[in-house]
Amino acid sequence: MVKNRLEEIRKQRGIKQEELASALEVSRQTISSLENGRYNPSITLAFKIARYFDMAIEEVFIYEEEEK
Amino acid sequence: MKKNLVLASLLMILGISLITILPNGSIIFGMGCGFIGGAIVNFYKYFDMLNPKNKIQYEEHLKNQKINLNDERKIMLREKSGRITYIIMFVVLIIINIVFTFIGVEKWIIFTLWGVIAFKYICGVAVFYYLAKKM
Repeated sequence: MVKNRLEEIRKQRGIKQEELASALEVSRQTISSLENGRYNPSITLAFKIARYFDMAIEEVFIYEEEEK
Repeated sequence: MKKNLVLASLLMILGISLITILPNGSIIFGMGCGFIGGAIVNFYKYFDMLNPKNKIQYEEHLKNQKINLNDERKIMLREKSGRITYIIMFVVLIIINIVFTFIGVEKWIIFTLWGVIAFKYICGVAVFYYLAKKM
């Protein structure tokens, strides 16, 4: 399971969902889905997000093993 | 933008040709009118976009269109909805064919429908293996 800190980081930097979506060339709904954990991004988009915030990918996305 | 103009011109030529070549065929006449209607809409869009007042709106529209087309979540949703529709259609076709068999519909219709079902399945498998080889 992949969790992310996207909403937290975005709010810390005072960026609107629309602005982030425009910079990443994705729809605002995609940003919303990512923040709510309903959608996991592709590795390319994950890198783009991390680069946008100038952070390592692991700082934005956290992988957690699912309990069996 | 040019696409609209080309499409409008083609539709207009096609529509006028259909009406003038076969004026008595009602279906063909209807199709011709439909094409002309489509051409008028596309001509309107083209000239509307040329208006300098609409330039900013048009650029915004193009940007949104590009984003919506390339947005990975929307691509995934389109693929998923296509997959679900494929399964639903498979079930619907089988049910229709069984019903047709019981109510005694002409055999050629039933065989054609079974053919369509078989084609859908074979096509699905073939495309799967083609994509599996490519990736």
